[in-house]
Amino acid sequence: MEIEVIFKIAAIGILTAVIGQILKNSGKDDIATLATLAGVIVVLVMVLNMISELFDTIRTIFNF
Amino acid sequence: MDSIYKIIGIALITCIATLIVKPIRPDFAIFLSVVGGIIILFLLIDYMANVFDVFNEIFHITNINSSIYGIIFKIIGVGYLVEFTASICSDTGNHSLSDKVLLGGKIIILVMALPIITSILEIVMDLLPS
Amino acid sequence: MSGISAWLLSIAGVVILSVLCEFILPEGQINRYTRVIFSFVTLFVIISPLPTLFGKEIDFSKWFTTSDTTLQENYLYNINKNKLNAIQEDLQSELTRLGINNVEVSITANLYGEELEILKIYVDLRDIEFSDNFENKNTIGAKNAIEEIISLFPSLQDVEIEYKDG
Repeated sequence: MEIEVIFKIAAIGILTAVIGQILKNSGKDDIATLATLAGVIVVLVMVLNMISELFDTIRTIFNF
Repeated sequence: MDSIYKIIGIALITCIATLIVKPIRPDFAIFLSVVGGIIILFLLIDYMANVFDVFNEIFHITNINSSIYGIIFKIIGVGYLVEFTASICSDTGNHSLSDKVLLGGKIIILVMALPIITSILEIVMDLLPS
Repeated sequence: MSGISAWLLSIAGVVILSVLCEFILPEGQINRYTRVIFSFVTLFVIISPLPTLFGKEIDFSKWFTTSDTTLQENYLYNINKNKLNAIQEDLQSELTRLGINNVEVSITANLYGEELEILKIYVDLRDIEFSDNFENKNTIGAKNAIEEIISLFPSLQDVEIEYKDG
C-alpha cells in the first residue's frame, strides 16, 4: 500500500527534528545540522523516485 | 468504486500528517503534500488508461484523419504533465517557476498544433478562385 | 452518400472527443488553451473533405510528421499480439485437456497488418508426454489429434503445420 510512504516521511521528519534538538542541546550544533540535512536528503530521494515513476507511467500510457 | 475511498483516505491522512509535522519541520509538510498528490495520481492511472482505450476506439470507429491522432494524444499528455508539475512548483512556493512551466507547455502544444492551422489556411486558399 | 456519412461521423467523433478531453484535463490555464486548440481541430475535420468535393487534391503529409504512423502501427500490433497469444493459449489448453502434455506450439504471424495473418504453426513434439486418458500413444496419433484440434479453430484453417520430431 502506498499510504505507508506518507507515514514514513512523517516519521523521518519528526525523528530528525527530535534528534536535531537533542544534539543541539548537548552542544554539538554541526552534527545536528548534518542530521537534519541527512533526513531531508533521504526524503528527497524517496519523493524523486516516486515522481520519476509517475512520469514513466504517464509516458508509457501516451506512447500507446 | 473502492478507489474513491482510497483517494479520500489518502487525502485526509496527508492533511492530518501535514498538520502534525508543520510546527516541527515546515519543509517536511510540503514534501508530504506533494507525495500525497503523487499517490492519488498513481491510483488514477488505471482509470485514465481505460479512458484512453475508449479514445482509441472512437478514433478508429469514426474514421478521423489519422494524422490528428498522434497530435491529440500528445496534446493531452503535455497538458497533464505540465499541469501537475506547475502545481508541484507552486506548492513548494515557486510561483514564477510554475508560470514558466505553464508557458512552456502552452508553446509546445501550439507548436504541435501548427500543422493543423496551416492546413486549414491551405484548404481555404485552395477553395478560393485563383 | 457514404462519403458524406463518413464525414458526419468524423465530425461527431471529434466533437465527442473534445468534450471528453475537456472533462479529463485538470482545471487551469491549460484547459482554456486546449479548448482553443480543439476548436481548431474540429474546424479542420469539418473542412477537410471539401477539396475532394471541388475536385482538387490536398496532400497533408507536407505538414504532419510521420511519427503518427508508428502510433497507428503500435496500436494494431498490440491488438494482433493479444489475439495471437489468446489463440496459442487456447490451443495449448485444448491439447492438455485431451491428454497430450509438453507439446510446445508456436505460431508465426504477420502482426503488422490490419488483420492478423497467420503464416505457419510449429509444433514441437520432442518432449511429448501422454497422460493416461489418451489412446494411440504415439506420434501419429498425436499428430492426428493436433490436426483435428487445429481444424476446430476458424482462424487456423489452411495453415501449414510443421512438426519437430527431434
